[in-house]
Amino acid sequence: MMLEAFVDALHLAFSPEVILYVAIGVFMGVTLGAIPGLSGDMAIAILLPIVFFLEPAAALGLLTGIYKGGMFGGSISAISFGVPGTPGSAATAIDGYQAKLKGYPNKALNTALYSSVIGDTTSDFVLIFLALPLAIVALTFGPVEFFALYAFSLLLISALTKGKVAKGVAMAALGILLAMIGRDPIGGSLRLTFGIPELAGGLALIPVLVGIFAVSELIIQLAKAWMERARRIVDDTKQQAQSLLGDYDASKDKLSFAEFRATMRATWIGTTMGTLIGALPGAGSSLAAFISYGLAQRFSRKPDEFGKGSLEGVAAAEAGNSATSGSTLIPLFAFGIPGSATAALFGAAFILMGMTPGPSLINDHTEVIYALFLILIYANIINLGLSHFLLPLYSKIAMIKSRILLPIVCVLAILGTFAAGNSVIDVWVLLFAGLLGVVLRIYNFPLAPLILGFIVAPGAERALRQSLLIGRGEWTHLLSSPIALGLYAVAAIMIFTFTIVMRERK
Amino acid sequence: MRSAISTAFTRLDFYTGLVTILVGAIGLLDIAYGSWRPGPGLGPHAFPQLAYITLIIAGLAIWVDVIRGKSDEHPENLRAILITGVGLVAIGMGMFWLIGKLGLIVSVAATLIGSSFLLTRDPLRHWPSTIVVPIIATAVIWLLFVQLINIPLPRGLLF
Repeated sequence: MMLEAFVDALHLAFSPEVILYVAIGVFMGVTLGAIPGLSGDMAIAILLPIVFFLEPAAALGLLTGIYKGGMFGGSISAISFGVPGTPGSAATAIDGYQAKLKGYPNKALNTALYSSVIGDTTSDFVLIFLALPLAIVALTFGPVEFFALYAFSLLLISALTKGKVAKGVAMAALGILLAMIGRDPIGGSLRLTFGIPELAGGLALIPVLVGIFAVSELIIQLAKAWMERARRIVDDTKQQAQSLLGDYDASKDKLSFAEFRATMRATWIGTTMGTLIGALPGAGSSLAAFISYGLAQRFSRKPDEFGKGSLEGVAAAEAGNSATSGSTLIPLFAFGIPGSATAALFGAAFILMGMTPGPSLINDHTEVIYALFLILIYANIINLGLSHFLLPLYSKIAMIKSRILLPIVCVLAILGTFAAGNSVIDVWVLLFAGLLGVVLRIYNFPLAPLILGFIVAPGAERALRQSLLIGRGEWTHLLSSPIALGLYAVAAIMIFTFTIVMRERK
Repeated sequence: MRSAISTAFTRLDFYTGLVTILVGAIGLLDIAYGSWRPGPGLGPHAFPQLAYITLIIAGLAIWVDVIRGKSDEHPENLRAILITGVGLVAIGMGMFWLIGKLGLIVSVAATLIGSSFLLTRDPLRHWPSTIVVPIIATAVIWLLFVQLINIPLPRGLLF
């Protein structure tokens, strides 16, 4: 049975169509990740409505490709211009840009590529080997355990996102309230619709996700383009790039095997930390990259070179960043809870394709999920191959003015959202979610807790109400399970530990 | 302590905390006095009530941070960003309305060319990026949405 599913998955994953979509995705991801202001996550959000019209394996191949490419793409502008293409590549910019200024950008870019692929692949294997056993455990969970799990995720993601606990908690609550709009799933009465009949069905996932994540960022980038700020940044970096060309000797800028080997310790530190931190809801790739960077410096034989163009620094940061990619999907596969913004986007893609994320996902859609596991692995090889040969081109792509692409991406977001639900209300929700996202971004409210709150609220409400029905209204029933008690205790310990780690980081 | 409280009024997060508390309080008042129907078990109002209480607690925690001297800086370019946001909503809805009147190709091309002109200084001099790129992008969007994945879009008089 399992072998049969694996053979079917092999056929799915290695069909020419899927391989092509993965390659297109990788190219798109690296390209968009390399342009400051755009990101792989934004591309996934914009393309979500379109995947609805593709075969599941092809759709997941496209999204996986964008995800993998975007992870590495962010480091191209970080190293080339000192402007991180994605938040996760901010730590890569510290040594990467210094390496570029010292005349060895190619070594830094290749180090980033190899460490990114090593971190990413290891993390994918951890996902593959952990997701199934955890999902089997999760199948034994009742409403009390599931409510504890939802509370655990919301607590962690609120407390860990950028260290702004109060604002994170407020956003999780706001996400829950947005999810409450529409009919009560148990009694059927209307809630928070403000007399608008079109809201009776609730807010659809796609317009909320795309609006909050992508449209809000697009609006901010458009405003910057309007004020010609973005142009100035690119012009400055262009000038800096050109000023270096006089001293640059390409023949001396090739990564040797000895240099690559010297970065391996840092790469494995980054890989380990990234994989561990990535599995925690809310911790994120940025935190993983900075912690990896700090640890690699502590264990390096040349700690003084960190911050001055150290290839070890580049390797640790990039491996830490990329190693979150597989493990961040573990809570989604095992429990149906997205631990990060990207996982939320993948969760939305599963829902669009009629697959419910959670413990029964692997069992119900074995072939597709096995195919996804295979795609996750070989997408790294495609990323390695494509990026290795196209690195010079990517560095030029990073100079494309975002003002040219932003209006096109906006139109894609609007048309794609309408297409997914065939509803004008969805377009309204998209645009207003975008405006809400802008207000929240400029007042420094983290968005990930809002999205997690929005996604987990229906399940959490069901679990809570079922638990209390079973416990005859006694709230102490929520503490009747040892697993639930363990989850609350682990959440408390993790929040305490990470608060101390973050204080040290400051 | 007194000076910390008096300077709190000048901090941005004092007002973000205030808005957070107000949203929570208005929500609780709505649950207490609004037309919420009872339901089985906890009822449909219980989870929103929990969220509103959480909002109030979070708002108070933001105030505690402000009194302890922690507050985010006032945002830069606030007016430009908000004008762009409202402008994008207007342009987006306008484009969608135009698609129903004029058709996808004309509306999308007009929107993209218009936006590029707005975002580019001396747009006619940069005609490849303000006219040619939007036309190519329109063709790609038409191919993608209409020809390749056949997504149902409102039909207009033109094409």
